[in-house]
Amino acid sequence: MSDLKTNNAPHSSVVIPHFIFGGCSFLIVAILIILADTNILEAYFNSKIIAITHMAVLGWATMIVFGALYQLIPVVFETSLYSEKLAKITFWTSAVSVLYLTYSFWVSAFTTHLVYASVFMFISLFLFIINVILSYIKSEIKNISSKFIIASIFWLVITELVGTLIAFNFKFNFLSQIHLHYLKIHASLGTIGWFLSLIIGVGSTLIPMFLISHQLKKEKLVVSFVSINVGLLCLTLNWFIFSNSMLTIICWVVIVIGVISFMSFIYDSYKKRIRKKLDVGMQYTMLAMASIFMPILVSLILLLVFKIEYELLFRIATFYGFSIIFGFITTMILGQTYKTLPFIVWLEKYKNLVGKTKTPLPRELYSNKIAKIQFYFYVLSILSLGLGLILKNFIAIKIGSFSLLAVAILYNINVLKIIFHKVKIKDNE
Amino acid sequence: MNKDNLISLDVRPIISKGNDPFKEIMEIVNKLNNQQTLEIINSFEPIPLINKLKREGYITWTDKSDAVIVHTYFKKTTELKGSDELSLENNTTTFDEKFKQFVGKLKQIDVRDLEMPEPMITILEELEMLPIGNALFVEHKKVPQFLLPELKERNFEILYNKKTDNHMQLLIFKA
Repeated sequence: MSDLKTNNAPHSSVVIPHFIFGGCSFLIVAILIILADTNILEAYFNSKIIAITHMAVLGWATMIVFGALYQLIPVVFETSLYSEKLAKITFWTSAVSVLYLTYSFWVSAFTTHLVYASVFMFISLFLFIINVILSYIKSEIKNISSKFIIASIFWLVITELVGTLIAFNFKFNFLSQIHLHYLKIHASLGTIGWFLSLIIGVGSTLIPMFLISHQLKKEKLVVSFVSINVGLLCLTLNWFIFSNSMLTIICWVVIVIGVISFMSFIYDSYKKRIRKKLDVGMQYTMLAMASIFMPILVSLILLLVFKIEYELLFRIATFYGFSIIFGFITTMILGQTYKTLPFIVWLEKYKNLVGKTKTPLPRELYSNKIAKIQFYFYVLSILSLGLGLILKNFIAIKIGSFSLLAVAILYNINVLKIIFHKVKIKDNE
Repeated sequence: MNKDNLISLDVRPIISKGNDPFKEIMEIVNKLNNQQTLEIINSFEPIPLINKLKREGYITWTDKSDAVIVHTYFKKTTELKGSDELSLENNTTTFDEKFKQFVGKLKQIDVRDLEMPEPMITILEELEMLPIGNALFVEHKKVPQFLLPELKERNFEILYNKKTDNHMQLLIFKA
């Protein structure tokens, strides 16, 4: 009770740079996909795909998540961020590390640069983790949303430990299993443990808030929390120790129950919403929610179909990764950017004027037209990239990658428009 | 105040029989939950009881509008999130006491069905129009984290009364 301060919101100089860097990274990802050219369809995990993946999940998704989370900590934890200075340091070290890491993969510098890049990345992520955990400790709110966030932080630690382990193994070769085994663990923990848990934690607070729906069954989130974490914990132990394929399937079922329980919570929220018309930000968000079914389906195929030729197996695995990183995570972030960033900037620029004069609304800070066009390009791009990957069709990949570039450009225009918004006072009607 | 949560005890018959109602009152007081309010109906103001329960952290107020009957109310202190921190000058003020103080001078609004940031805009607009000495009573979903610094900036105090996880009452007035 005593630490509930009057000013919990972080300064915008902590938050905004993450959105700028994230936007640039998204643009770089789109360009790299075009540059990777036919490498995208190569039958094994090549360094180009790994470079693009890391740029996407760290430079783009994680950076925006960091920025958004710093802003949301007051809302979810009801306390201020532990240290804004630490957050600024984390931003710069992360930015440099991501670029270095992506470069190391892109040029296949596995035995030279990669080790250093992964250590830098490890330290940067760790600074973030410390900041969030120390914020959580001083918070008195221990609700289910904040537990999801803390669990996601835990999985981020494990993900980066395994990732760094793989990087070191390239140089020193001490692991018995092939890299692909650890890569699978690294990728699964990163996507399910870190991103999915985090999105559920933040989404379970924000989505009902934006849809304006009351009286939701929080029990569904508890089921989701327990299932996902127990399932993932068993899965990790199984991969490291037992390697029992039956246990893998059981874990899969438990995790899927958790995901569906969350989906059901969101569906309730959607059904009970007071604000019927979805704006562009919520259209993205709902599309992201629906697209969770795709990786569930694809992972089921990967689990159950044993006799499958390697080439096809890798292609499906690539599609699986794509469906999570683009279908789910990127869609979610594109949508939530339109909900959170305008508010952050609006708050900064108009807080002193609100109530005293007529001010624009946050949604008037960006061009709705650009956002709409961006949405259609985005749907086109994920559909053609997805189809291209599955059908091994290079023309579809080309259409998809250039549409994605268009999305990235339009997105950046709107992000910059929001950030550099000039204060306007409306005439009193 | 909700009628269902009101427990009334008329102590006049007990006193007229020559007995002390103290034991009976305390039995009810000890069973009171956070929502319930005890109403003591008596012919005079029970000062010793009021002082005793005040020391134990109860909120109490008296209604002497009737010439012969005195109604005295007791209520447990509800969870007042951060009220002690935020009401910077008057640390002992509680939501209920303040609420009582502003009865008749309250503007009531409900922002639970508004989309962000309209709750904040609505509250600040209402505050601009609020007559001096009046208070704004807001039905809200949560602690309005981003509104707090602005209230402080404009010299307003805020008190909370948490009803449920999704329902919060705010009392905002000029410091």
